[in-house]
Amino acid sequence: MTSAAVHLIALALYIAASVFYGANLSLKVPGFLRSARLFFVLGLLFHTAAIGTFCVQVQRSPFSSAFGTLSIAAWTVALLYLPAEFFWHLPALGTLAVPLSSLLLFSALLRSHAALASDPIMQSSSTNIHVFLILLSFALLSLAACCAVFYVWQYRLLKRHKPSGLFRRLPPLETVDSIALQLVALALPLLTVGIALGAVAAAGGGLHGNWMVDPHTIATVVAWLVYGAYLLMRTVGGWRGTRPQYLLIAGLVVTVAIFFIPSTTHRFP
Amino acid sequence: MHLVVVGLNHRTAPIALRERLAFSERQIPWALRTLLARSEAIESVILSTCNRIELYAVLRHAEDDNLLVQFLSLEHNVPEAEFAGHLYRHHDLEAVRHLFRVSTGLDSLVIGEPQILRQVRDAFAIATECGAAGMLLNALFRAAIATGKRARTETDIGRGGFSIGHAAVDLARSIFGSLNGATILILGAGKMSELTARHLVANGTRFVVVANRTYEKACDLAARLGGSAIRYDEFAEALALADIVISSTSSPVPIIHRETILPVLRRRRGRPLFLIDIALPRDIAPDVGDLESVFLYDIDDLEEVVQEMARERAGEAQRVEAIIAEEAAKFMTWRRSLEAAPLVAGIRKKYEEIRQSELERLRRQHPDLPERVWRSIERATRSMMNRAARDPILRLKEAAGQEGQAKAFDLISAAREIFALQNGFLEPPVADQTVELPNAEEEGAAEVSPDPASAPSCVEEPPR
Repeated sequence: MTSAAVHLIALALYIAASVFYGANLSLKVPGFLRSARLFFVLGLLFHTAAIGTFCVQVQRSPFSSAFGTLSIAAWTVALLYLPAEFFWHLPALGTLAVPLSSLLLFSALLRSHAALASDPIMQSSSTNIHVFLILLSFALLSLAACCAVFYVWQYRLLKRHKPSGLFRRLPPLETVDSIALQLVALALPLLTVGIALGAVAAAGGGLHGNWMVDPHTIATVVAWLVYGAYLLMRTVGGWRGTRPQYLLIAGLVVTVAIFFIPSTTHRFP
Repeated sequence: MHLVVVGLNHRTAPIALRERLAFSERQIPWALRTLLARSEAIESVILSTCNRIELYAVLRHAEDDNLLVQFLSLEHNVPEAEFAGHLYRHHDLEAVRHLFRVSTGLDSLVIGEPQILRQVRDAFAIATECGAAGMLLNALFRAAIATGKRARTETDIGRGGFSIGHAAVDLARSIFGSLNGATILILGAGKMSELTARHLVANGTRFVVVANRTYEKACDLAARLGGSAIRYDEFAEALALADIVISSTSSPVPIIHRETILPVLRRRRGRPLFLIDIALPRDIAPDVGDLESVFLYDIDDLEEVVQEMARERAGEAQRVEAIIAEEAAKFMTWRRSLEAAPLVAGIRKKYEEIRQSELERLRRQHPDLPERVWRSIERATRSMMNRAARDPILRLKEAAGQEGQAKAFDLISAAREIFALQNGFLEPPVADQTVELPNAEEEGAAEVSPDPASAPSCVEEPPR
């Protein structure tokens, strides 16, 4: 079976999980959460197998193509959601996290025929670690943004003075706020190391052109500044409420938007 | 034997009548013994709460339910004519469904309220203690308790606030998650404040501070809640430490304004603040609720939350009815098997007796036949009897499993006639005999307490 086919199965399982997570949040029917978890775990297993199959098929790093990179991005989001589900007991987060993973995986499948980069720099460990750390940190920041969405949603429901019964099913404000902070605190050091590794590789002549004005570089640095500011204001400045949440959400949206601007230097033949 | 319930509730009878027919916990054991002294009644359980008085009984004949009406009249010295028109009577399957509706909270004044399940348990426990609940009511009440728990687990029928206190807890949880580290500040040591605070304390809040114009009253309430008291003029300082504020003073004007809260929010560094204003006129200026991270709920807001949850619970009624239908069908299938099983055993026994009797006669007539021939005759006669009994027994077992109760009972009654097995049904065993219950939850069964000392209390009055 080709890796694209296994990826497709994983995507189908993620989509099924997304539907059940959404249904569990809105309808609270017994069995929906169990089904959601089952489909999600199966999807993650198939996704892991799909990435393994891809690496075996291409005999290269999965980051050698846009397909592999996006697949790993989707995989890290799903993988990092697992502890949130079972450690933080936050199944509501699945309503956003699993669809996000599905979207990334779908984007990957659209590029399943993308050319593989054969530039030697793509085979170096430091490059692979650089990319993986960036993706890992973005996955953590994505989950933090999902927490922020729930915070804002719950906050507005409670502020209305006449909340529907949904407020009982959404996670508590303090809980998602605390988890978002922890996720950003985990992400920022990873992002820092990822950026540093990339800068070292680029400064060593690994990138062609002015990498400092590359949209991908700018996106990563913007993310670092925004989330660094969030962490500082949250911990030292005592910043609470909806404004930090809006920053989390906006920060991710802007970063992702910049990331999709075609890169000028992150191009490898 | 017939399962019967006769009773009245908040829908069928006014409180003035219900209170004349109610049983206190002390009266129930004696009343049960009096009822069971009558030969028509085999088993009985009395469920008497603020909102209903119901007699559940196993009677020899369905028409003996008048006995229960007479019993009520004699026990309370109330003429039958005064209350007979307010009674409802259910038999067999309808009686089962009724009890299941009661235990799931569908028949309650406040749909889904949790107290009724405990009250059903307590009534069953008292009847078990004094030997009034036999095999059938034992199984029925265990099934009712299990059904009540199942409905509350699988649906939202029991979720959400039933009172302002419950609503406050739900809202506090949605803000803070765990209430274990939360601090409550109570302004005004009134009854409503105390009631609301008790709900929060019961759900994990450990730190309670009370402020009242009369310091001694603040100390009294603080002592009851396990907290501490402060002087009334110190409450502004205490606001900075409180996560939840319950205000119910008799002040004619608001005592908390934006200017009071702004410095508090700075000191709290933006942590959310939940303000519950249950005073009339309000203690907290409405524009305080516009501040960032401040959640202000007055009494109307809390009642709206309670009503919203009541509407959601009502929406769950259909799912609960489906659970009730399923559990009632299971119970009736089991009950039919009670009728069929002894009959099947009786048929087998009867055939075996005939076979043994004929073999004895043959042995006397032919004493010299070799043993191996007798063994062949044994095998042949046993096989003959098994084959003769096979079809009737299979049909009876099928009938016991059928949904159509009337048809099943007709077949079973006919079989009893055909095989002349009028006494082929189980007599109610002693009360302490355990019974295999279809789909009984061990937890629910184990929780049945034989202690009649715990007084079933009335359902909290619904909010105005």
